[in-house]
Amino acid sequence: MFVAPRRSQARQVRTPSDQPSAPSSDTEVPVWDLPTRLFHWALVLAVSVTLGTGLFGMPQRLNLHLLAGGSVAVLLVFRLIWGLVGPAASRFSTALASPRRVLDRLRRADTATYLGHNPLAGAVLFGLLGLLGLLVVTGLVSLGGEEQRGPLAASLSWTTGRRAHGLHELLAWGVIGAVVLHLGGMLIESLHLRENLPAAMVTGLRRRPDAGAVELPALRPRRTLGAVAFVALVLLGGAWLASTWGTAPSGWSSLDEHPDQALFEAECGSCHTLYHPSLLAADEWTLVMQTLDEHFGEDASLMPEPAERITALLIEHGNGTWDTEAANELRGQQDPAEPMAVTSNRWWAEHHRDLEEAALASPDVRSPGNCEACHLDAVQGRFGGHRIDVPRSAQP
Amino acid sequence: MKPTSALLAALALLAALPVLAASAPGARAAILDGFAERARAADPGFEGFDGERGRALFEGDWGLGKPDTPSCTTCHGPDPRRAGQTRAGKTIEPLAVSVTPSRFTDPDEVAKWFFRNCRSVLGRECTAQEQGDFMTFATGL
Ligand code: HEC
Repeated sequence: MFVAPRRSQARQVRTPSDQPSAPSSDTEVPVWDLPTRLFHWALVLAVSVTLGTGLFGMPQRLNLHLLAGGSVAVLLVFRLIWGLVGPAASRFSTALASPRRVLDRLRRADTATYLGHNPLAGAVLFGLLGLLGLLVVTGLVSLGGEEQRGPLAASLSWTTGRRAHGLHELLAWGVIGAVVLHLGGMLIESLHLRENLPAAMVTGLRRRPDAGAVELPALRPRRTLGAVAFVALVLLGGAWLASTWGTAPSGWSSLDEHPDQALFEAECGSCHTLYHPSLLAADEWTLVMQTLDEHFGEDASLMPEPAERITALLIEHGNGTWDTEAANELRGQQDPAEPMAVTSNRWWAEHHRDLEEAALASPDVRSPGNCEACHLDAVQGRFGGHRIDVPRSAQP
Repeated sequence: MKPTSALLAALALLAALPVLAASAPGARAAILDGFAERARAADPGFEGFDGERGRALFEGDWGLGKPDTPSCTTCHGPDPRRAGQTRAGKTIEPLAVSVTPSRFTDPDEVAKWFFRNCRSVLGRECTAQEQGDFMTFATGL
């Protein structure tokens, strides 16, 4: 059955074929309450920014991505609560339908006018919310494991973060698919009903046909309960973030407490970036320290005693002892013909291909080995994508 | 003699001096006295240090050591009163004592840098005479 096109005096209805011939007694009824509408458009914004930064802004826009992603998480918390105690149209119970009914709707065996979510729209709603929830989780896992940041940094390995990252990207495409379905369904419904559904998400009003509409159950929103639950959950999440943010990441040997850290910094940092011990394997460091009199075109000899202490530090904290992104990516990629030069590491070379020439010409960089000219956190061995700041003079 | 043991010997000499480390000028005087003592031991005809010879050492285009560092100025720049830059891009504070008062106050540092920088530029260690000349040059600027 096809719901016959109706005429309406409703402002929001834009149907080119509309003829004011037959009077209508359709009434407008409030469906989407203000919190639900605010949630909807805030989510549109947050998801757009998250997707935009995630797809086009990485790694430099990671912090904005985290901010937008965090907003998505907060909005999801609200929607979860509102799905349980909100007004009828926002409740999950009214959006939930059996797979059979979803299929019926898809096959157009069910063409009723739903004031809330039709079975198919409900399925898309759950799919979208579920995907976004999984994105928040995989994002946090990726951030903690791969970037060694955020609340999970202390408990996750780089490999776990890396896997989560792959999943995170896949899920992002899932969200794009769900958004396309949502927009497509909304468009089809709008045309089919001759009702401006996007406008309904602005005004909150839907047109109720005289007959045949699937009414919403009489459920009052429990605002106080919802607000209390929302504030409580957000505070709880905030407390969790505050208590875990910045805690020592896993896979991080505590170089800062090493008795020879100051000596290492003073001796190895006077001519070049203080290369982090995680950049070379222990045997490569040994080689470096044995050949200081022929050190990348210079004599960099040290007194035997400090040389020994620094060698010990480097061996103790060599590449194999770190679970950071740089340590993992560089591992095993060193060119055997150049065991001491990080700049001949295959992974390094792959990631600096476009940069080298412009960098060499820049007085702020001068050498491809001047890591800290662009990596603000090079000395900590982190090399976070968001901490890259290429000097203007070195930009191609 | 191995390079490191030569460095050790040079350092032992410096360390043996009664170091007046309390003040920068005192520390510098002690280091310069050490160079004079060694220069005299090497050449009984030692006639003191000369800043102009130190300047010549600094400005000379020697090219006797490592190919990429033909001169002291490769890293320190042409003017010791201004900052230089290492080949890896690190800034080197000016060598001139008038600009960087902490220069030539730590005997270990002085010995270490002379040892390796002379080998990089000249392909050999600098003599006590050369070190004293250079120090006189950098102190008098
Ligand atoms: C490869 C680069 C390079 C070259 C070439 C070089 N130097 Fe240096 N020099 C350095 C660096 C780096 C330091 C230590 C940085 C600092 O103390 O600010 C230094 C420090 C010194 C010091 C230590 C001063 C002090 O007590 O603080 C002396 C003396 C010195 N250089 C003399 C020379 C002389 C003489 C030559 C030429 C024979 C020379 N350098 C060539 C890089 C170089």
